[in-house]
Amino acid sequence: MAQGRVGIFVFLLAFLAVAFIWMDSAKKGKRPKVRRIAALEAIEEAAGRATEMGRPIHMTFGSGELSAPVLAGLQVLSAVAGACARLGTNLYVSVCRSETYPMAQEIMRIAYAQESKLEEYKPDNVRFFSEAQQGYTAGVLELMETQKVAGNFMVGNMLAESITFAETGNRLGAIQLGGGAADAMFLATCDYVLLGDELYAAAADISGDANQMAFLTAEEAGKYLLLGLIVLGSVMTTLGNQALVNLIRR
Amino acid sequence: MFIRKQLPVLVGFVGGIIVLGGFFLTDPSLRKAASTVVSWRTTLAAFALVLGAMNLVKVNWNRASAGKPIDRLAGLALLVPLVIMVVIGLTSGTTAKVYAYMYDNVYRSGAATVFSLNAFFVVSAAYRAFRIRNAHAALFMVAGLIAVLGPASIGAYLWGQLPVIADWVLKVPSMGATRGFEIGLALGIVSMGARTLLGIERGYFGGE
Repeated sequence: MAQGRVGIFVFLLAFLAVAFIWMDSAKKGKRPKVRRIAALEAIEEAAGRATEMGRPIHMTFGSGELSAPVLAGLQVLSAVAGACARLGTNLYVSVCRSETYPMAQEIMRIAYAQESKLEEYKPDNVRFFSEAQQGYTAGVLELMETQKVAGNFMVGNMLAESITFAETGNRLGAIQLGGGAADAMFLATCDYVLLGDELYAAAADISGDANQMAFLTAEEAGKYLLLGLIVLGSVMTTLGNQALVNLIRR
Repeated sequence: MFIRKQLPVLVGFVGGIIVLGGFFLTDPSLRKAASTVVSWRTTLAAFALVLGAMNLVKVNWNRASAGKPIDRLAGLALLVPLVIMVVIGLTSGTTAKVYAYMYDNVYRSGAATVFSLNAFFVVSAAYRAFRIRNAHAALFMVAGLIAVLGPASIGAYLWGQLPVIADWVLKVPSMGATRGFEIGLALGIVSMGARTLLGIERGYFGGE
């Protein structure tokens, strides 16, 4: 085992054990309770408002690389595309990383098919602008301005472009939802924010899958375990005992 | 159906286990295999880039050929430089002087212009965020002012203790909140990664 990774490995095993126990409970009909995430309810609200205004909705995942926040963003896209298909709202999706492009197209296609509106699905509404951050930013700004978007969803690996998109959306009067790496920016500019691990909880919540919910329970258990370790470690270190620190460093 | 549903999950699982093995174990062959699997991502991205470029050309060709005059101009403004750069890149190579000239004097100056817009957007966002609407916003404004003024030379000029307080704000309450936030975020990423690896999370191909 590599130096310093035994603790992480043990934690991962414990995490999976808790998740599997809850998955087993879910099979027996016992589902973990998840509080309502306000930002997810904004999806229907934004789609409905955009339909009434006759304006489209825009969604993007940021210029950061394809990683966990982008995968969570793609799950949010399935909910946004479903709501847009149901209400007949035009949806534009812009991507910066080329590998996200075919995934976004496929998710949109499936969402429209599930709502029996496949004929309304427009593959060209998924726009690739550039792999370069500023080229992508310029493209998204142009799209938002020319289409006068009524809803703006920014969920993924959002970097410096987040403030530019959020302020443009704000000026256009769009309902905005942000989530991902630029949470502090989103708190200042968006109507709804998927804050921190809410982003990953939202991805599980949207799916409605009991197995995914089981992992949320493991997340919560992990938080309490880490909190306990922090308190215990602080007390032990203050008393001059390095046993826990040394154990975690192994 | 196997190709669309089970195969991507299987490939993801095997690739993920190899990469995880390379992270936890010291075996050189496993680490090399993990590095190879990660490098495949570049190959996959190259294929996707072709699809993206086709989308870019198609959308802008439609704009340039059938849109309003302003749309035509916008479409051509993208297509003409795109064709020029591709032709120069293919005929002279990406290290040619003319290619570097176009990149440095057209793209980079344009990119700097777009990036500089951030300064204005940050100011307008800060203005809204710092408006005192309730107790939380007031606290946010006070902490923000201390954090902004403290490290600046004007901070020490106004009050000698301001840099000390700013340092404390950044190193104690702000750092504590950030670390708590990051622990939650890291657990979320572990959960998302485990779900994806085990094929439980399928949102990335439509959740089918």
